[in-house]
Amino acid sequence: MSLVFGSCQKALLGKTITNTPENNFESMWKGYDELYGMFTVRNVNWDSIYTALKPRINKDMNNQQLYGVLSEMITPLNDIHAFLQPTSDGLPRYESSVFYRTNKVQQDFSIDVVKENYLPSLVTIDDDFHYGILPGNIGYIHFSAFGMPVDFYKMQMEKVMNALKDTKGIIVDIRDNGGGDDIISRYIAGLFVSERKLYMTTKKKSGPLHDEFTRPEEWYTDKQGSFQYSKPVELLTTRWSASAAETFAWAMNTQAQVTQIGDTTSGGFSDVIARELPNGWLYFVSVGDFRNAEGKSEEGKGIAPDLYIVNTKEDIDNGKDKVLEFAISRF
Amino acid sequence: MHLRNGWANNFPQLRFNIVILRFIAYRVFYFLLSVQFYIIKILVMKRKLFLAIICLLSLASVSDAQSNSIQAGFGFQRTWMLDQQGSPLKYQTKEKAFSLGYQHFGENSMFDVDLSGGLGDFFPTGFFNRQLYDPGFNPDGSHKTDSSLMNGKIYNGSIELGYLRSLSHGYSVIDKKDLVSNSYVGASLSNQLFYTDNFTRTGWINSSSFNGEYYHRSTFNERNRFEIKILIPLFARVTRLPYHNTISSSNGDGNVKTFFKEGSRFAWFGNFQNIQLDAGYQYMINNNFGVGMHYFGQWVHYAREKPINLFQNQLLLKASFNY
Repeated sequence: MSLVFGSCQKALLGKTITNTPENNFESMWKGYDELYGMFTVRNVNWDSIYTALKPRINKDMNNQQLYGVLSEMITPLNDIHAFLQPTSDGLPRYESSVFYRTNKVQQDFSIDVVKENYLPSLVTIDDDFHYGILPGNIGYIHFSAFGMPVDFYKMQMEKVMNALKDTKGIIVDIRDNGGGDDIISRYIAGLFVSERKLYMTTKKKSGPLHDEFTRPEEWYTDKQGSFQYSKPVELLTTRWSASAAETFAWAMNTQAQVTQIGDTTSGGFSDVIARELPNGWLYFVSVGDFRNAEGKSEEGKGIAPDLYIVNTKEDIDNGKDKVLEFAISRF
Repeated sequence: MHLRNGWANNFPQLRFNIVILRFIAYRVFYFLLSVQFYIIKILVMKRKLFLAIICLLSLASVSDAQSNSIQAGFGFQRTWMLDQQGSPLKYQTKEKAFSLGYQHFGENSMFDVDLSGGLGDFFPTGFFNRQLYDPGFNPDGSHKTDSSLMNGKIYNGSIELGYLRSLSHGYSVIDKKDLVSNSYVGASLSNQLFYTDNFTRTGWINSSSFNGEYYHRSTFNERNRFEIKILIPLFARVTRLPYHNTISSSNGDGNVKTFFKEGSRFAWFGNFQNIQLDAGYQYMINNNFGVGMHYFGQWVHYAREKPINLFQNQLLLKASFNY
């Protein structure tokens, strides 16, 4: 009975790829080959990686050894959106990003330090979303992600902007923002827009060839909300400000009243998708090629701040946020 | 759309799983809300059509020499799927399913409306217990080792309106008992949606189709009723994710609208195959009430952007009210 059912299934669904080290290697290499959008931008010769690593794959290797080879495969991409996430054997996620592999945990920012030493009345809307008014009537908004649906932000930001509309300026803090949805970053930036400007052009993979992309799509800063805040805005960034936080920075930086303060951002702008291997592991692929308003890619580079200043681990451990203090002092 | 990497605060990846789960929950909620919104919008826009259908139904239900049947069913459903756009893995489901139906039989025709849905676990075959490890780090820099199960959910629904003309009518006596048979052939309009909340967006497909339909009903000894229905889409508008498997709109459109705008294509039987079979037995307790079992099975194949093959079995316990 099960044999008949199995045969029927195969006929109706088609053949699946058997779980072998060779097939897992081929599947991941091909997945990046057909979907990764930045071989040119990042100057990576993907074929040569296949040639170098393929001889190291054999049917007798264990998962730990396979993990080693697959990790090496994506290391040259050095992309925050390219990583391997095993789902067995207790193997950890492997980041192709050198920065994330090296730093592991952010140490130059803590929202707890902001709350404890600068803004005890900080209001928590969500674990990733806070606001308040600093001494000197300076507004403060913190986003550590843009991950909720846009309707959530529309509802909450109306309240936040009304609460902060009489401040003399606002500090928008995205120093630990790992990203989210570009629709959210576009919407929030629109609350600070005085002038409609092009801030980003995106294209995404539309076929398996490395240069097969969709038509470029232009993103503009459109006014959002019941009013737009036009007084000075200071945007705080770090190397941990990534992905949709960076497209947010692109949008904000088109406005004359915005100054970016802190460190250069992460340098990973593209959309990312999850894919699976025949052994059930996940790997993540950047499928886009995102450019700034000038048509330049800042992948792997990040957005440099107007004013450079960073906290050390010791600053944060001692409850001091030099970057925030500097931003406050400018109002 | 960016999938956040989860670096936040001092130990941001600690919150990775919770954030992802919450993100998914909100997504599903707002997706269903959006679908509901668009259905209501379509209903409002097409109110004349719907008023006409309601008038037809009302007229039909009061005419002489005609009969109506309202059915409700509940049961189980299994779906197997190989969606190469989302994953090389074969997926399967464990779903609970329901069905609501109305049939009107005239002298030479029949009209039917069916609404059905299913909801359940969605996971790759052989990987039901797959673990998502916390990608965060301990204060000493070592990897965290806690994990959670990473199964997703599948949401499946369909609606169908059909009108069929009588093809043949038969009457015979077997062992001194009456056997009445009726065959109908006609067309229907239907919409079917599969949506999953798993990481790889496997199995996202919507099809609005114009179908050819065959229906046969036999009543033996007035109490035992057998029926079979075969439905095959002839033309369809099929919506799938684009090649890059993401959704985002530069002009502020919502994800549902963008999904339908960017991913919809005209299809026909040559490139979109969907064969549906519905077979049932009903025992009439009296002239009005019946109970029975229904089997529904379907196979779907569509090749864009990458092939998806889907096979579904459903078994329902059904009750009917006939008047």
